[in-house]
Amino acid sequence: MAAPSKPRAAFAPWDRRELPGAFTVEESAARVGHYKWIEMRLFEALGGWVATVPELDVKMRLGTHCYHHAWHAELWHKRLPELREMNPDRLAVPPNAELEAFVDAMTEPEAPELTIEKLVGVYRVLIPHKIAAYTYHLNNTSTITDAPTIRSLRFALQDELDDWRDGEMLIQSLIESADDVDRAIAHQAKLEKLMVAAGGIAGDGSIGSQPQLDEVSA
Amino acid sequence: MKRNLPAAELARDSRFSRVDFMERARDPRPMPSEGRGDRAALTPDRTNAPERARGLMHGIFTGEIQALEGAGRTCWDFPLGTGSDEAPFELKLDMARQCWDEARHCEISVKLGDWMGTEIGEFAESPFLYEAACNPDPVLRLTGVNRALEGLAIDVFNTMREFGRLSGDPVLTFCEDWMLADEVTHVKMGSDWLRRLTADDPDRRARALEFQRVVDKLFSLGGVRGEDEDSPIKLARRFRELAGFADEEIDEIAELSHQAREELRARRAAVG
Amino acid sequence: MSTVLPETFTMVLYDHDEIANAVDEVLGAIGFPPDEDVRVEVDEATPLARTKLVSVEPVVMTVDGGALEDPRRPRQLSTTFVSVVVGRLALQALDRRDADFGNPPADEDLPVARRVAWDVYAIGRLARLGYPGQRQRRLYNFRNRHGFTDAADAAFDHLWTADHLTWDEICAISDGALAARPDAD
Repeated sequence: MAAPSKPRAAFAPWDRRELPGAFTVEESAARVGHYKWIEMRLFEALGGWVATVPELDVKMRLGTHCYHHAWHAELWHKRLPELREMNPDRLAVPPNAELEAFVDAMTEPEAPELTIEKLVGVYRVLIPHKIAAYTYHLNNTSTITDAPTIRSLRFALQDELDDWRDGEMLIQSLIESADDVDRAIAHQAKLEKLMVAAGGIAGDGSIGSQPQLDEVSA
Repeated sequence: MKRNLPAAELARDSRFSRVDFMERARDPRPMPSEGRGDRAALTPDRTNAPERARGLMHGIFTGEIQALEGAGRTCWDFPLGTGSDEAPFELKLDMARQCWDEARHCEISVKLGDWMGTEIGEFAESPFLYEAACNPDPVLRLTGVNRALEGLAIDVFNTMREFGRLSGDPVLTFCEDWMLADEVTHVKMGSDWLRRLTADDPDRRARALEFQRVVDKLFSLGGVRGEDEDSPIKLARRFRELAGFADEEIDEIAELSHQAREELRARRAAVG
Repeated sequence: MSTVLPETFTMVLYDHDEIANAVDEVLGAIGFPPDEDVRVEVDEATPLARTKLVSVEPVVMTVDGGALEDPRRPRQLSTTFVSVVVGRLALQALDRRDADFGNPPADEDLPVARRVAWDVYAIGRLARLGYPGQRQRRLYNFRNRHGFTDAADAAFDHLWTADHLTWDEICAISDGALAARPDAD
């Protein structure tokens, strides 16, 4: 029988978590503030679009997804005071004017015949970029000190991946002609350029930066 | 995307046919007398009860779509803030949650339509729920949507649940009970937010409650919803209490319904 | 050959000839004797949907205006409803005339469950002639009267797909389903 008082390693052999992480408290808070801002813009847009799309299945799905992103905004709202940001509104801002321009362009389609554009903006541009930024943060922050952020990122990422799939399938079901393809591509290209200018949902460094590598000498 | 979308712009596919209030008002045929047609209690012993239940269920379905759209628009229409045309963060979160709930109710209603043999768009849709309840003032919108419209939903779902129970329909009973639970949450949200947002503004609270009275009277449908013995849709008093309505408030709604019924009787008598 | 009254509608936007054409077409489809007049009296002053076979020889039916109304467009005619309503009543008139069918009570004396069972039998035959039967709708109505049970569903299927049933057979099918209701004594 194991002796209760026998010392055991604090970290079990299978627990390979290490301390270092890429972000300080302030850096993590800044990113979380940007996450809250974009999740708010997204859930507001999805909610507003519900009444403007005639397709019944899309209408219902947008209502469900609206809540997913509102809940993410709430997760980030609650995390901010834990990262020493006692005013959760102060950091809930876009990283730059370019991301605001992106959101304006993404929410611009309104007419009932523009469902393809509405969905492409969210599910082929914004959500993939969110998945990228969340994944970068998840993989680079300290698994010990920033565990609460990691937990929220995992919950959010599960929704993002599910919603991405839902949205992509809806888009594929709506695109029926070469013209529809052109519409989708044109709108995606327009928004993708704006996102590139913004540097991602957390600005420059949303998914890290490529290291300066020396060329191998001959 | 603009703010405050008018009802005329609610997007629908080709199956839906919209009829506005004026078109119905222009119908020269005398309304069925009390106790006949849609003015009769919805009980299984009535010859046309299953058909009435189908029609009412389709009306619930289109009402849920409008409720989903209303909750969604509330997420978009009001900027974040505490001003009179703004909405606090927590209120927006609650509206997003309601969006999800109403989307689920649409899904349930579609499945119930399949169960009852009703096609999507089989009956005309009237947008009066969205029209009457949506208001550019967020507090008035909350009272119109969450207290008046969702309050009506509590009464209707309770009636349908009871119909399902009496007729032995397990699917209808099950579905209505689940939707009823959600609606109690929505009405409570409205009650709680009305209190919070008008805690320091009694004038605003008074205006909101007056707006709610107007909408409640409209939604009594000429006394079809009420607390009279023969009201086809009964006020669901117990569930309204759970949702934060005070006894006096429920009494007032009952009185408004009674007034609406008396006014309708007077109009019919005048026509002869 | 049919007679539709009134000749002119003033409260609803129904067209007399449109109704008459739909009536003649369905009568032809069900094999109603072409030299016989069928009289259809529409009460346009009500949105209710009651229907009644007033007489079997000759066939006279009264129909509330609401029974022919398009539920998507108030006060406008649904020729589909004309076909199904008149077709059902005409088939039941032919059933009553058929000596082999038996002797059902007068319409006003029919218990609701048996009326519904007979309606299913009639509309099932109409559906096989190509008219919209809305099977699930009829099944829901049947279940409401006979119970939400496998026995009721089987009874419905029997009635829906049958030809040449007698009144006693219809009653036995209906009674069998009723006996299987959980609340049956």
